[in-house]
Amino acid sequence: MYGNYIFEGGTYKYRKIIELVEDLGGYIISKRLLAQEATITFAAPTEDKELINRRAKDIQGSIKELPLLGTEIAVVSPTLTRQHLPHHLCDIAEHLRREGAQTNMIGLARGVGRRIAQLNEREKKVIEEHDVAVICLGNFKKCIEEKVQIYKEINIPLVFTGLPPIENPDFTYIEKLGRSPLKFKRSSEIKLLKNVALGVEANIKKLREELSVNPPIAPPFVLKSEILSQVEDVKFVLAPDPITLRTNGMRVKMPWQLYADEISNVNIGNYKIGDISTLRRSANKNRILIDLLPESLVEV
Amino acid sequence: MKVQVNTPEEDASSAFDALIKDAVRDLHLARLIDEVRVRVELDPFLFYISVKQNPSPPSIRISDVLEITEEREDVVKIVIVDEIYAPNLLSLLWDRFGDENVHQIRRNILEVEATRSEILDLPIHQLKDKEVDSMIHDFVHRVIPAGLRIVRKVGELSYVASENTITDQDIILMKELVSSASDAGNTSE
Repeated sequence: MYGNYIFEGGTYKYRKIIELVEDLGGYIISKRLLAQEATITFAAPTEDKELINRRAKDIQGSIKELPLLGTEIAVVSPTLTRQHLPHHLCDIAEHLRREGAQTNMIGLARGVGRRIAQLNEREKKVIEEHDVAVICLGNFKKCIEEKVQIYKEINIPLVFTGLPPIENPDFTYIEKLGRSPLKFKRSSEIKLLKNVALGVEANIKKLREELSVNPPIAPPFVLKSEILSQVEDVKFVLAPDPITLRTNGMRVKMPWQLYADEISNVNIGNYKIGDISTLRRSANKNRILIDLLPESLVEV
Repeated sequence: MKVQVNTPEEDASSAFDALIKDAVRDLHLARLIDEVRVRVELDPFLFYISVKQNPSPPSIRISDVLEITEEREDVVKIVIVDEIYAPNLLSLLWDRFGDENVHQIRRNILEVEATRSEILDLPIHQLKDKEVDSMIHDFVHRVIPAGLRIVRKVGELSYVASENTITDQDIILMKELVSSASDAGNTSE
């Protein structure tokens, strides 16, 4: 069983952590060196956590668990107007990133109002490319209850936020997060952000449990490292994270028409990526989405 | 500044109260606004907002806006001191002296074919009024929820907004509700 962690420390001897993780059979997910600071995210066997901790302390660094590492979360706003953005949505996204998730902010074209609120097919597709979506609603209970019905068409786990308390909702709902004009700074406000992260974590945990019943042949971070080593053009991608991991797949930020075949032919042990996963075109910027197949569906 | 918010849900009232105060702070309107009243009805979805302007807004003098640096025959060179007023000042000069007689040498330096006294006689208070008007409208549109796109002006600085067509009955209803609930709801200073 792998756990997801982050190492934060100086650049002095940071390679010792990378070597240890690789020796233990773990995977480096990202490595950032900025001036004298090193930030490394990695997946490693949970039973070796203590060993990695000790090594990190030796070089004056620290290890923290990142429950959302390797997930892609959508933070959805009803519009891009200043009534809805930026403050608390950016705070939510930032907090989720601190927990390890990759986040995308999505502003809907016509998500406003109560009667006129809509979700079009393309928006639905873009949101469904994520593991979980956090949908930020407003101040009125009646509006929230009506608008939730529109978003229930989306076929991924959803976390709703809004201001009023709702008794026994049949959806994941985080209250006290309505239309807010200020950036969250107080400890009571940070606690609300933690509640959102907990709501997302619970959904991710459920997804991972479902996956563990019939897991894919190789976890997504193995595919990522193979793509990075076998597809040369990945290093020319200007997007901040060229390969973004999801719970059961990844998004490769390269044009579908040019690179889908090349990525499909990347070798993973005795298989090719095309054999152990399905590749599809993203509704967002023509990128490549890889969904891993469970082991039982892979032809031997 | 007094803020009075009435909504069917108590949590929403305090949230709108905070929202209004923040928008006032953000736009530096505290000295210009005396009172804000908001009333929300959810069935039908109607949003009423009225702003009472402070009767004594800060005055403005010509020296706050521009400085005359040079005078030649029928040509005056002026420097715009506070660029906040530049767009409105330019349109005022164009209206008064014509486009062809106002030459913008640099961003804040103008040459106007006019005399010193003509420049000093400009109705400069209009600039402040226009600026205040636009700030108050900006404030009102920050407070009204984004979904309520149909907005009708029902008084000097009073608006009713909705996502449906606003009828005369809706306006009468909101006005009655606001006047009957003069001190009820969430009121704060």
